[in-house]
Amino acid sequence: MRAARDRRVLLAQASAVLGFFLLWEGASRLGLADPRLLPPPTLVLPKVAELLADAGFRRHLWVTVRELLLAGVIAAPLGVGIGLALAESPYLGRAFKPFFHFVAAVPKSVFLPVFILLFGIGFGQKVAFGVFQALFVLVIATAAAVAAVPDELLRLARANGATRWQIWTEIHWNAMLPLILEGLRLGMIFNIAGVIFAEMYVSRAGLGQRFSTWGESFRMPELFAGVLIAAALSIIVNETLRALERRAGAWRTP
Amino acid sequence: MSLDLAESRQAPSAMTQDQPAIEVRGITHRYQTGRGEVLALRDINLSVAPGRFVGLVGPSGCGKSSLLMMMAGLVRPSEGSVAVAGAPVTRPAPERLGVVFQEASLLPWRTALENVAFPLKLRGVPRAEREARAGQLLHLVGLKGFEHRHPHELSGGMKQRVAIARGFCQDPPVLLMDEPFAALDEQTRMTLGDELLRIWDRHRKTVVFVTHGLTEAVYLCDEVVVLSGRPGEVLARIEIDLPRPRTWEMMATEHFGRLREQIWSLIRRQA
Amino acid sequence: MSATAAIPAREARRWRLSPVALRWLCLAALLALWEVAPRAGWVPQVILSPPSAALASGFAEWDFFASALAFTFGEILVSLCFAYGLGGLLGLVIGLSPFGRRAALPLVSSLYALPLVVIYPVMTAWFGIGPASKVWFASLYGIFPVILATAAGVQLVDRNLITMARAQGAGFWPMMAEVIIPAALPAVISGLRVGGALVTVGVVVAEMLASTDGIGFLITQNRTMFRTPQVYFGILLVLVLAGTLDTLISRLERRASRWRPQQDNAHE
Repeated sequence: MRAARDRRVLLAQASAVLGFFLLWEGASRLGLADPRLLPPPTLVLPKVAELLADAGFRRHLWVTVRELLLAGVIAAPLGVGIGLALAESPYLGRAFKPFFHFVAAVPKSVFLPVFILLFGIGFGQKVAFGVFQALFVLVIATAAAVAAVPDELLRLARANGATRWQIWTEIHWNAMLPLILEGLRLGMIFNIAGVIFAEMYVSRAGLGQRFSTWGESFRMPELFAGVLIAAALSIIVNETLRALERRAGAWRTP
Repeated sequence: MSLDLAESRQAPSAMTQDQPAIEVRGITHRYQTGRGEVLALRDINLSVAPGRFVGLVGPSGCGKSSLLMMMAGLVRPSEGSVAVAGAPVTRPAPERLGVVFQEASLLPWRTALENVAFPLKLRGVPRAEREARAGQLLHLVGLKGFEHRHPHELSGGMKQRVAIARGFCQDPPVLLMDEPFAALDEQTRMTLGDELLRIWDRHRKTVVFVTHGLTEAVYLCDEVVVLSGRPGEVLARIEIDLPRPRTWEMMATEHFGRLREQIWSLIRRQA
Repeated sequence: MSATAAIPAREARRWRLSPVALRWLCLAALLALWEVAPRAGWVPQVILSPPSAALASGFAEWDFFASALAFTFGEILVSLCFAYGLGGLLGLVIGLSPFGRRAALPLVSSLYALPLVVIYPVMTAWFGIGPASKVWFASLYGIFPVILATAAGVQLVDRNLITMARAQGAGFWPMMAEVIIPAALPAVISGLRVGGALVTVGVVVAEMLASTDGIGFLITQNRTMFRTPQVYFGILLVLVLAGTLDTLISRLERRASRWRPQQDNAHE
């Protein structure tokens, strides 16, 4: 029963995606939309393969991937560290948690010009902007993860004479991991969007820079192919982290 | 012995009316689960005379709540039918059947008064009229002064009183109650039971009362219908021949104990 | 803020500052540093402009900024209508059907995770660099949280209430008006809040990338001309705009959940 239902859901989702591409193809072929503005998927998909085979494009892609990875590698320990500090010290928490909540809610993309003024328009500026986008949600997720550790489990562990280290590895780690991974996933989503936006705004290299150029010169097949590649990139990152999150949180109620 | 007594006492005025207030004819119910078909109820026949207070008890999972939902027209049985005063029930009919649920199920964004008036609002009764009626009912259930409180400001017992008042709101001849006191603590449950009897005594509605509390069943009812374990079937109908009004002292009597014991022995054999 | 004064004497007797005081002190120090550093020449003024200079030069050109702000605000309003209206409707439809929830929700949340900025060049190619491309882009940008929150809100409506209303013979519309929508409202409004923030960012980001008017355009224009104080002033205006919208919606949120038990607000 359950399996049959899941199959039906998958089928519906697959047909929705397929239907989307068919509609796109149809609109373009039947002249409902100007094929110069909406190139059909049968033209765009080969373009994806063509771009990926092109060394010049791969160089741009690699720039973006490196910016994203570096920003992630910097933001993750920093965000988790600040989050832990805020959660573990009630004093620091009371002093600065509202500040982080506030900044997390502020639209951060408008600060991009500040990053250009501070860091120029190169690689470092993109990384810094990516860190800035990812950091705050991670801090908040980590602080929330500490707060979500069930008190009765801590009491139980202490009653059984667990050491501080054991309490951390046995209870905190397991209870917090799924929430922190969720924060990391959201942070990476913001990171990707931020870095690509920064590249689109002003830059010499990277995926975003290609998109802007293609858009301005009306090279629509390349632009659509690029959009698909950027979407695939973020889906891969998102789904990988989501899978980790699910595995770490398998004990949670579904 | 109690059965003998019951028979000797038969012929109260309510029983002599020929039209039953609610009648269940040949209800059988099956449903699908992940592991195949489950037969929940088998060939239930039951008729309740007007003005009677009838309890429905049975082991957990015997389908007594489902049976009540079918009486309320909320669930359609696989086979069989329900009639209220001779007219079939195929969908919810609030003007004929009031329902009180285990969870008070109050709209949290409405005040106590508005919750009681809710059924009348659905009927399009003007505001002044429906709120006047709801105010009387709140007074009846002992909640005068709490009209403008929201549910989160009321205790569990008070919420259930509001729900009972709502059940009475359209003055339906039949009231279906699905374990209405199950979520309450023992003391509140006893008090509310007495309140319910007091109100019932004034209005003499037909009540079908699902419960898993045997003491409660004996204390409140004229008759207790015992269902078997799955598939649920009617095992016995036990007449509770304690005089009305019921008092707390009755619970300590040997007769009360025997009636309770009789029901328990029927259920225990099922479990 | 009364909490600041209410910090017990026990706390004050110790040499340590109260946490709230520490927070404001840090912010004040940061602000002071921001003012002093460029003035003292520690940082070039073209990189960091003192807040006083930003405000002064901003208000000196207030007419410019005001008309750009009005233009942006108009785009935001139109986009909000699309994102809220369409998003709420879609969320309602998806949330009401169990199959829709299982099939459509994962798709919508995957779309939400995509870096949507990438389609802005498509929008400008299609609709030009006028307001139309901003409205399309920002509506799309803000619609997903509205859909997701509405669907989640509808899904989480207490089943007991639905059964109760059914027992009272409530039809589709009374069920919607009396049970489903009021029950889902708090969740929906928090979705509107996130969606509103995204719409604002969407419009401004789009203006920054390619446009001829609006506050985002002014920010970019001033940046390319190295008029740093005006850049900071523009950013400040966007923050004020987003903050105002957020305050309005959170006030609505409080009104919509007045019937709920008071939550203890931990944040000062």
